[in-house]
Amino acid sequence: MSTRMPQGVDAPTFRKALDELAAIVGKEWVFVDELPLSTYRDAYSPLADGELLPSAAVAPANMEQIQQALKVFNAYQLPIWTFGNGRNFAYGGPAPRQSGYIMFDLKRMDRILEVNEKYGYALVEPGVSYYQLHRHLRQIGSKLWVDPAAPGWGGVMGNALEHGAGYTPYGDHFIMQCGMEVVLADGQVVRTGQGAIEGSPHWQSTKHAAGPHFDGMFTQSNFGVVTKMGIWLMPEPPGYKPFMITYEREEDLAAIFDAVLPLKINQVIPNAAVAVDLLWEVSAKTTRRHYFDGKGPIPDSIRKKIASDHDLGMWNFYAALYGPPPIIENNWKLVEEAMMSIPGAKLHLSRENDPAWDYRIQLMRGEPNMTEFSIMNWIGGGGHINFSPISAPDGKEALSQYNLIKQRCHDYGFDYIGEFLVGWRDMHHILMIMYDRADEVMRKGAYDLFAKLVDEAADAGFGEYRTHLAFMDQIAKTYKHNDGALWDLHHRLKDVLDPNGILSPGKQGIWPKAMRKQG
Amino acid sequence: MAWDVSRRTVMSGGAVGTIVAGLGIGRSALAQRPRKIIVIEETEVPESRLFAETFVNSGRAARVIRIDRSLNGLLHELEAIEGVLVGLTSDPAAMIAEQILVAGGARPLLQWTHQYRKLRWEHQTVGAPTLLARASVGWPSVLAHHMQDALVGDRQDAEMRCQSGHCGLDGKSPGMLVSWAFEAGVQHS
Repeated sequence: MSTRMPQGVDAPTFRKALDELAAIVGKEWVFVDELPLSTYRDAYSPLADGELLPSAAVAPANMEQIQQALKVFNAYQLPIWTFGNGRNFAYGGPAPRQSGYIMFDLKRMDRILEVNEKYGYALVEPGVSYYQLHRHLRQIGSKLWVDPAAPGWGGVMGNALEHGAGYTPYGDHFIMQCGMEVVLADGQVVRTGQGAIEGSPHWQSTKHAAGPHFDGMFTQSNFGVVTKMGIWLMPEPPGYKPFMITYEREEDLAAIFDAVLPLKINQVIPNAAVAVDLLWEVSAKTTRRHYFDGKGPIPDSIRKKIASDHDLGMWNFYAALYGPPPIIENNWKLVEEAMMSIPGAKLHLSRENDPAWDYRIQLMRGEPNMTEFSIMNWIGGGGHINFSPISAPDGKEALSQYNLIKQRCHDYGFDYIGEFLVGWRDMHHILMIMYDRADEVMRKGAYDLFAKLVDEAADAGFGEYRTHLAFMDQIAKTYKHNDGALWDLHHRLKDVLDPNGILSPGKQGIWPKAMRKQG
Repeated sequence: MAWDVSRRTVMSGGAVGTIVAGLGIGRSALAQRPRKIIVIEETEVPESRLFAETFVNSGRAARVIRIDRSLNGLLHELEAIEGVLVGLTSDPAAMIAEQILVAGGARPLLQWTHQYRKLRWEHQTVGAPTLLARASVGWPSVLAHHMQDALVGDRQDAEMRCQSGHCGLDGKSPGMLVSWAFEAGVQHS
């Protein structure tokens, strides 16, 4: 038998199940060969080669096929890993939580079911990418924007379900989600919110309904298969003013966030503003080897040269104003007064021949692109994993988090490469640990650094909002208030909703009863 | 219906080359059935431009697809494409191309790596080590000629590593490149 089989399933049983699944979705939509299965691997994984590979993939075309396939998975107790369209390798890409799972690939379900220009929303299936929705909106002459994640090939639904972020005022994707259709493990179809009223035209207009609000339960979870999702879309504003302000000193981070907080909370800056560190910013246009060929973090003297060569700061703050020009003009005065009061601040309203500026400006106006992948050239070899603690957008807290994490990066021989995004009341800190995937020592170092950061951040009161497959269990354990009551609740729900434990076992550290000890 | 689940092997890993691991697949089939060659040029990368130019000058390129720094073109151009696609690109561009092409049913033919370390280029290819080692900064041109031979089956099968002599690195070069070829629009047996 192959080394990759669903856990606890023998080869004849597996073959029989695959036959039954092929009868449901069509033989051409059941994949067992290495080549098509290779597209589900995590190309840049921090784990050793050959880990987290599926045994097969099944691609249903519609909800009815999902229901029938779930019957087969339940009958044979086969673990599946649901995949829509996303390939965010910083968190594991499409790869399953354990080798041997069957990929439940929803890419064939790629219909944009509705675009409502009046109320500003779309209803989409799991396979719809940001590019696809963007193209569709332009083709139909819509004046609505998408809010893409940084790589535009990501899925509109998947990114929202994973609590992903974009860079327009609609940047908190789960907040902009409205209404879901979910197939539960037993095949029952549930619509949330007003979708539960037969014939309601308000499913995507309001999140509210009588009774509990369930949508969040189907995000970063394994309680159901989401087959439709509403997403609010921003109307194209009459004016748009993007800007970047560079700051000379690392310690300016505290002053930046103290200045930003009132502007964000009062909606003067409406979008997901971001402070990008020097190396992240410059990596879209040059590589580390052009400046430093040694081991360990780049010396300060060279960082200063990089900043000078590329007219950048140690922090580079991007945001934009939107709306009628008189409002932009008025709000701009407030922004300029607050953000330019920090000594050494330098304002940029345009940049020539600068791919980093170009892609940020595109993202803040809802244009998908793939430029962010070019920052992987910084080290070469592509490996990267994101450590993503969240907190309040407070200057002192940001600086203390930065100093802690930067020191640990240096202890392990890595550069600090990161950015801080400010949402409604939150601050997402994204540390990009980059490594050459072919360098085993460096890969292992990245893994160890990440593991260390999880515990240290938790000790300091910081939790991660999202994580790579390899660290889901460790991070789940940091949410330990009242003896881990929150994950106990997740497990109680899991046992009721998916008693056979077929849906994405281990997702976010939520394991079915039979696998819980192992998890 | 028979599912050959026992014949599979565990894939090797790695950032690039996991599918073909430096070796050509199905070259004899390609040799019997020469198809048009489409060259992907990552225009910002000097080595990629030289590689594409060599293909064009040799008369073997039916078309050149130029990708700018946004890398958007990879998504727009590679969906539903047919023919033999070749490129010498940055590692991220190679990864994106691989994901799109394989998901669309394309077959990998070869994938080699080229890394600049300590003032030299290190090449991991199949065949042609001496030529590449001597080529210094002109190596993408040598590589293009060698790949043309490789694609019609006129090459060695052994995986080779070689180093160039001391040379500089262009300021626009990422210094870690992947050369690759896929055949798209084929039915798998």
